Amino acid sequence: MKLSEKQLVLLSVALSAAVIAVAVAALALRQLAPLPAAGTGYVALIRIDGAIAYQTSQLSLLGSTASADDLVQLLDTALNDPLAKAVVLRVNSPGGSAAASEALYLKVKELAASKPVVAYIEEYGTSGAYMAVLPAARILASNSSIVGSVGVYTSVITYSGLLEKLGVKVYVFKSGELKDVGSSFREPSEEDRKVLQSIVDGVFELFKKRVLAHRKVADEGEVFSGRPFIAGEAVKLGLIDGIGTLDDAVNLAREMAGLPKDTPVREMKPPSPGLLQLLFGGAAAKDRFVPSVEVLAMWPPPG
Amino acid sequence: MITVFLDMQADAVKGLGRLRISAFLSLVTSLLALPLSGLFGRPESTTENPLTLFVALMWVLVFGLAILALGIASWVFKVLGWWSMCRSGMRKFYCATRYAVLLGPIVGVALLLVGGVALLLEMLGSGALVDGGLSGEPVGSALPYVLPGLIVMVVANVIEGVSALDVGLLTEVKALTLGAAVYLIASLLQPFQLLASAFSSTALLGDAASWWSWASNAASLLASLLLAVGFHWARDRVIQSEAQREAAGTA
Repeated sequence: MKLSEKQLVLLSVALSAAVIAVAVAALALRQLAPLPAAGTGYVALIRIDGAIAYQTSQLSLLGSTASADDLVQLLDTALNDPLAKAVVLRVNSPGGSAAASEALYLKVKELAASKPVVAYIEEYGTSGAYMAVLPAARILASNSSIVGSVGVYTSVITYSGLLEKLGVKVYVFKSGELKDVGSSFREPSEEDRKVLQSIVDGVFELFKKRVLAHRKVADEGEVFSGRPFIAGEAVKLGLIDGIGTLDDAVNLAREMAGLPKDTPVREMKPPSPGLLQLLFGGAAAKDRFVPSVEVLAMWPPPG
Repeated sequence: MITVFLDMQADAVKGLGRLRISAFLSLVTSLLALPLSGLFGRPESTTENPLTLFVALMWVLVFGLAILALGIASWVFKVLGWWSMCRSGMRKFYCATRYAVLLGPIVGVALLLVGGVALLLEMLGSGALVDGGLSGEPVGSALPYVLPGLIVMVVANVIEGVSALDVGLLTEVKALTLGAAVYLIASLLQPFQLLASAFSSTALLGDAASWWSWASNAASLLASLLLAVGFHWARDRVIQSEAQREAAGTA
């Protein structure tokens, strides 16, 4: 048996066409394949560690920082992953900048609208960190954790006296009286004080509204005084739902999502910094850091 | 006329000799790569057993470069072999085959590399690399490159297999015919093996991944062996027929 040139071409074309057809059919079948059963999902665990900020530097006035960008990205991943059936937020943060805490709050709210979210406060869940987890369906805390510190503060440090002693003079040219409000080169004027206080009050009002929208607070005067509470007191005041362990929080999340007790927990972590980022990370972080006038954090910072 | 005929035969002998070397090198490459496919065939066993992972890594370190060099050498001999077969004028189809074996792997590997980079970027973007893969595989951006890349490579292999089959039928060497048939089957299995390993776990191909891998490797080994022997016998057959023709001419 010998093949003609034409038969060789036909055989090649037929076999190639068969390969392409089968490959396309296999992919089509794969896309049509049923989604994994409910039991094959997992509970996503996301840590909120350190001061919440947009800066990526590992060092800050409030200790290590939890990059808001990274956390929002992780929350987005959990939101968009159909296999992440429930989410546990493991919180150990004294708070952070108002803008970063706000971004987290909004993302947690979006997440909690689509799947069960349980927050677990390990050591600190105060101020901005507390605000961020307010939309969670349940908030649990360890027995000795510190919760609350619902409030806002800002601080202005002035160097005018020091500069004067050193013989350094600072000349400021400004378009309006309040353009350099909060300047470190002069003592704050009465007008400055009013402006800064109104900013703090405005952010606090927003914070207060959010707490009242998500929690049934027993004693508003006590809660909004800005003081932190230990977990037991926080339960009584309605700031959190209960005291427990991380396992309790995970089991609660499983229960709320209707998952079996052996459903796996997968910790979601932000990408590790590369070598260049480790070497030049500080400089990069400085460029990106925008000072925030108002701070939602427990003061003095823990640690 | 006789001179032209002799040149044709000489090119065919040269081409079959190069194809024989190519098939032999391919056989050695497959044998060296066999432990790797065995170790990596079941990803869960590799990740669960550190010793297996260590052995696999050591194997890659020791033989990785040799496997790559032998694979490239085999491909070069293959291109040269079909080039000579084209020059012999036996079949016009062999001229198409030389371009297929030359360009198929180049285009295919380039597309696979682009797909790999796209996949890497997507995984870095999703943080899946850090977490060891969060859940579903981020293959969306790689698919437009990986699939055409695989198809180009398989089509090139199919054309080559059909040519080898034709040489087997022309020279009446059964080992070569059988080897070409197995080579075609191995080529047809190849995309499923790669697709199964790349896009497995949750989908249809998940459980079949190791089976595809084993079947494809076994078929490749058998094909390389039969082709190496077959091209050798086919070359001998051409030389013998030339000698007989010369003897008949002298007589």
